[in-house]
Amino acid sequence: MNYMLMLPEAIVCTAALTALMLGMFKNGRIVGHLSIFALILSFLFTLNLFNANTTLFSGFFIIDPLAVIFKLLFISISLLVTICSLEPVKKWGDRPEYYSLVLFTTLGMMISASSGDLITLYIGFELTAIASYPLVAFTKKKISSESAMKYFMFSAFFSAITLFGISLVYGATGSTSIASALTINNHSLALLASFFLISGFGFKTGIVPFHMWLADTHSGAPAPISAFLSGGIINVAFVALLRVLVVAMPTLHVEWGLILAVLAILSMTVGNVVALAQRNIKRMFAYSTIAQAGYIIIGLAVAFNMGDLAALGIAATLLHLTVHLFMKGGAFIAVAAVSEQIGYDIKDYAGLGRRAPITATFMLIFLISLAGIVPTAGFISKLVLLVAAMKSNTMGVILAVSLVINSAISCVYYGRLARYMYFIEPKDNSKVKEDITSIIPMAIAAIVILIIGLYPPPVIGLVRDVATALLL
Amino acid sequence: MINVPVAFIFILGAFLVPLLRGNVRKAYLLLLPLVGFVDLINMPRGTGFVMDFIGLDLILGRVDNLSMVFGYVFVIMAFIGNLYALHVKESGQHVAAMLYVGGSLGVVFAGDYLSLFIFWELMAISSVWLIWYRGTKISLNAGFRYLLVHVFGGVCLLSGILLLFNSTGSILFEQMDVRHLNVASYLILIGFMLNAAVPPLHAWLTDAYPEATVTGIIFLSAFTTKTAIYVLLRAFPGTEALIWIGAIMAVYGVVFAVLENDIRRLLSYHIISQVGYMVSGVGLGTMMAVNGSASHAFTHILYKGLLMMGAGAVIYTTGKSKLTELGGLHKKMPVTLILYMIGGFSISAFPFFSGFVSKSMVIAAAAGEHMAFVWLMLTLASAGTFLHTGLKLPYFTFFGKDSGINAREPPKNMLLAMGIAAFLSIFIGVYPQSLYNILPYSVDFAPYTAGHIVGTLQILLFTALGFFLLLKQVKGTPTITLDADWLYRKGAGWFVWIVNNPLADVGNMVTRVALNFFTALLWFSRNPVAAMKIIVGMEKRDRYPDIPQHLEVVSSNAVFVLIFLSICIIFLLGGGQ
Repeated sequence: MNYMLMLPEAIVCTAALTALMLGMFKNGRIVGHLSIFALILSFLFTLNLFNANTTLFSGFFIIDPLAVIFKLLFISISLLVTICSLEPVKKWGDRPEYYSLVLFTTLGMMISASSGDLITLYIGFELTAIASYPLVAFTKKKISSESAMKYFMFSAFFSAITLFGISLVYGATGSTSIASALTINNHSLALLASFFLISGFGFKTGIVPFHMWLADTHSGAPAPISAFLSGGIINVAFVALLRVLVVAMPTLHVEWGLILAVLAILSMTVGNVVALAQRNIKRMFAYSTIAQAGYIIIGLAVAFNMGDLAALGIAATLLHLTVHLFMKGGAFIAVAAVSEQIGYDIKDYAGLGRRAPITATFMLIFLISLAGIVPTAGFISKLVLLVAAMKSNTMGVILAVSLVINSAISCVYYGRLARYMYFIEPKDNSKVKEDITSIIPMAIAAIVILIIGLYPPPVIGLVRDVATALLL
Repeated sequence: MINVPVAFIFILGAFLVPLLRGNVRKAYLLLLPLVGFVDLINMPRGTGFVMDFIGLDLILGRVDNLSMVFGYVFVIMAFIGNLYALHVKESGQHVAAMLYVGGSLGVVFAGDYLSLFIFWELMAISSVWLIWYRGTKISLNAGFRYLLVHVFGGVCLLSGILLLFNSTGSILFEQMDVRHLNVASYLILIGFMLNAAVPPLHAWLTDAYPEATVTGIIFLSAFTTKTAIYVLLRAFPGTEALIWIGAIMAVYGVVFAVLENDIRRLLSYHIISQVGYMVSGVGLGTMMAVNGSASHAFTHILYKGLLMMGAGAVIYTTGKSKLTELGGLHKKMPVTLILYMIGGFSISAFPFFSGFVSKSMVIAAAAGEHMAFVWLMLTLASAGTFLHTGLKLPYFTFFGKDSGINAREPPKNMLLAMGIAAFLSIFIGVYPQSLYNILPYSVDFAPYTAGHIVGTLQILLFTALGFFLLLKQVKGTPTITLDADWLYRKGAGWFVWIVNNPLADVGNMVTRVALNFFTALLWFSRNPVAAMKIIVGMEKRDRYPDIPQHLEVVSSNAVFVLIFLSICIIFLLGGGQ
């Protein structure tokens, strides 16, 4: 066994532990720099694994293109979050354990991405969840504690559901490996097991009807952590869904194709319509995350149509969640950059175009991308989703049409924020301080979005290769 | 010579504008359309620039006679518009205008629905900035309504495209089978008609255009409705319903213009009226009618641009736009008046002006199909057009009661742009063959016959006579016209209210119920046996232990197994084997 393949995880884990110890006698900033360094290092080593395709620990730990691409995404979002937290953490008491918790969450996400066994998956999930509870409550404000409590309660409930599912698979086959789920020869039992598993994962994606925790948690958490939740933790559930569904596909495609399609339509519609009514900027983005999760699910629902479309659907899912990570992460980082100073109501954003021109410009790019308008990545990924859906059967066309209608609805609330930023006169005309530590991550996210938007072929080719490799 | 789709010259060129300053920028803005024109002439005929997008072919260069007519006039208009807007300082306006032109050219040369849709949306998104840059609260709100209406149109269009692809497996942008329209083609048709401002989908035009910037409206009045005419000509020629829709539009625009007091809103209603001729031509679908529509779009872009530029010059120098507030400007702005009147004569189809050679083709096509009533409506609308844009507007703006406003001629570049448009309008009127040579089909139509000229002059002169006899009755009054736009002005308000109140309540209720459920479950799971006893009334509520001291392990497990089994049973009964 070549343990070097686990080097990215090892680096993150070591850095997390070091950060914890270093935190006893050093201040937060140094620990922050350390974790940034460790994350960059881990990113580079992960890049190095791109062509690897092996398993470790007798199938418990997989390294394949899917795992690598998700690890890169997870490391990127935690890198962005760590950089933009350097300033705010000082205000929250300069406690270095913040960085350690972020690193542990990242570690949990990376393990989930690589899991070839339901037990590994569960461990990854729990590590992600447990490390993120205190992060949500980090500011110790009443609202933060409350939202962390809600997050914890819902999360614990659905962990139990996931475990039920795992126990069913184990009971039926005598093995907990993900591949063994395929060998359940009783159809109802297989359906029941996948039902429990997918409800458990679905909770973390925040799709309707498992979405209740999401808005409260996002609005209560510190804004950088909201970015982390929307950009990172949701994607953990998607990687789990992908792994389980690819296995479940051959036997269960009729049932799950339909169920996922219904869930996708519900999520899109509920997310977008409720977001229309939101005045709190973080709640608005949280509901938009629910809607975007619905868009991502479209790809999975389409993937249940066997054949060529399975690869195209999965590729569309991968592309949209990649893009969503950067645009929603970026949007929350933009909120983090200014909201401590101006507030969280949409009215507070009036005149931001003049008060904080750099942040407002980046926010505009993220909004354009979220709304799916040329020339940004959000447009390309929605187009790929649309093409994948319209190439499939009648259900796909219904999905595609509801995606189109929902995109139109979403333009209203994204446009409203843009309008407040650029056209409404502010009450207070003073400049807002824009820190370099929040500009850098926003710039990275915006550049990624624009590059994918202006020249998509390499990224589309990449996700198609990953999807094809996954289905082999 | 390297050749790119002409749309890209404008789209990519737009991004350079903010980097340039002063005279360099002015030169660049004038050079860009010229480069575009050279590129346009050199575009290879046939189907070119095919790109692969995950298995679908995107065709960016379908070049034939029909697309070239629109390509020429769009590039010419981009030049005139840029010249007219040369003095504008905000680079954002120039960027928006160039993206808008690029989007329109992209639509015109798109050979498949997907790339058509992309450029279609680009047009909507970029053009709204030409309204927002006015900077007033009214223009801001009007811009938002404009955007939302176009997003709605985009949704219809894209849904139609998706359905079409699903049923035929092709996204090629070709002529529809107009005898057998299905849901997909109707959705596409609605999307197209919305941009062509067909009543009752027209209200965005008269709502938003008058609130645009002085220079922005020149672009707006030229591109959106005319690209819609192009796509209708391409996909729906011969759709019978469009004949009547077009004839009604022509009259509708004129009738509503009667009630208008704002000069640019009056002209906007005349856009609807003129586009009605073109829609009618699409509906007739004969070779002559298609020629008529295309050539009328060509001339209309020029003379409507000229009229809008004239009105813009008045607003630019006086800051007023109401007929009741203007008057007696002929001494102060004589050049503007003359140039405006050339536009007025063109739109009214005076002989030797451009409108005469194109509008008469549509009317003659209607006569050729023996559609007497359509012919009558179109002819009447023509008289009404002269009444308002050729007589009422100039009379009350430049003559009439002297309002004593301080005015002067607009800047040189504005006058020059108007001059070019005026020259082209007269040139086409005097030498119609220049236009006829580039039309999709060979033209077998002579506009300058004695009967034709005499007939037109009779109608126009009697209109003029009527106007001066009834001068008191036709003058503008400061009223607000109620049109179809109140539907979505009010409708949007209701929708937002429903989302904010009843829907939000339902959402909160669902969240509360779920949260209570989980809290109860947590409470229950701490000591299920005690909890059961409390629920059935064997124990008092306050006897529930904080710490599960007397937890009977076996019975607790039994409760959980029961819950689990009941879930399984429900599930299996519902969906299992």
